[in-house]
Amino acid sequence: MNDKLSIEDLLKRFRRDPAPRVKRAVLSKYAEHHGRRRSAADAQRLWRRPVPLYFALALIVVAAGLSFVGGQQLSRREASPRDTSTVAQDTTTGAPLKQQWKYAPSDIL
Amino acid sequence: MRSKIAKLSDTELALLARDGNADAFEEIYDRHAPGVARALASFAGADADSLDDLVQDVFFKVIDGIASYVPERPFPNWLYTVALNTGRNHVRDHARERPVDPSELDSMPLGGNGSVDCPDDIIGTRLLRLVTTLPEELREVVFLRIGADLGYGDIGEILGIPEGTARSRMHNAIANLRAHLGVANPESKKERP
Repeated sequence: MNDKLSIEDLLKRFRRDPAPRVKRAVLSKYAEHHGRRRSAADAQRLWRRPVPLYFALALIVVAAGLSFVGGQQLSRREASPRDTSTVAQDTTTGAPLKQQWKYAPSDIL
Repeated sequence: MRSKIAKLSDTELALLARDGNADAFEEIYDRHAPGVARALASFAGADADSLDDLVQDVFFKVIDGIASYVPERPFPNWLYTVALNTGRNHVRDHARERPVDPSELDSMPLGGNGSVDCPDDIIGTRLLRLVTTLPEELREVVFLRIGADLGYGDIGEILGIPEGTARSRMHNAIANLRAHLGVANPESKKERP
């Protein structure tokens, strides 16, 4: 070639493609780097996946519900405690005495 | 797949590569590695082994840093900033080495009218050796101009200088090279901004 070129053009014409080993090394590093990033991202995604979150929320709701129901039962029991007093018995037979009205119905207004 | 990738812009490729698309990254490499090598030759000379190591270093840094790339900045500007810093580090690390003697380039065949006869790539190689002897601020403009053929606006953006200053430094660099080569510069008035 005998073209006349400016110095800038001459510099721009310089071409030295890097050796194939450079490309192999670079692409290999890229694959390794993004493989690591991907597995880290996957691990993060797994942790952030909504399933554990929803599961935890459901567990909280169930626990709250159970505790509410249990609390209500307890308070109902306290409000009407079972009568544990001894039942009046016939002194001779030992059978429980029948309920007797203290007053005749006619005594009641 | 590669044919579709080849049609994408640098910025689109960079965003795909950022997200782990290996084909996009390979296209970036194929598109820019020769330019990066040419640019780095203005810091390290045209020695093939040195250039290979530097190009590899640049692209390793690109891999490490591409997660921080944002599309607001043109990708070549980002890439050549990485390459420029790599070149600067190379110069700093090799500062004690013997500088190139411009007389080594005496055998270069030259025309007498401000241009250079170009029989083959050897002239470019010798010329690049001479570029390595330029003052740093001039060499950096040559680096960006010949590597990616960047406009002076982009060169100014990368170096943090006004566009006019970048243009003026390139002009001075060429004049400096001509002076080393003993070539008259009849077009200097035309080239001046």
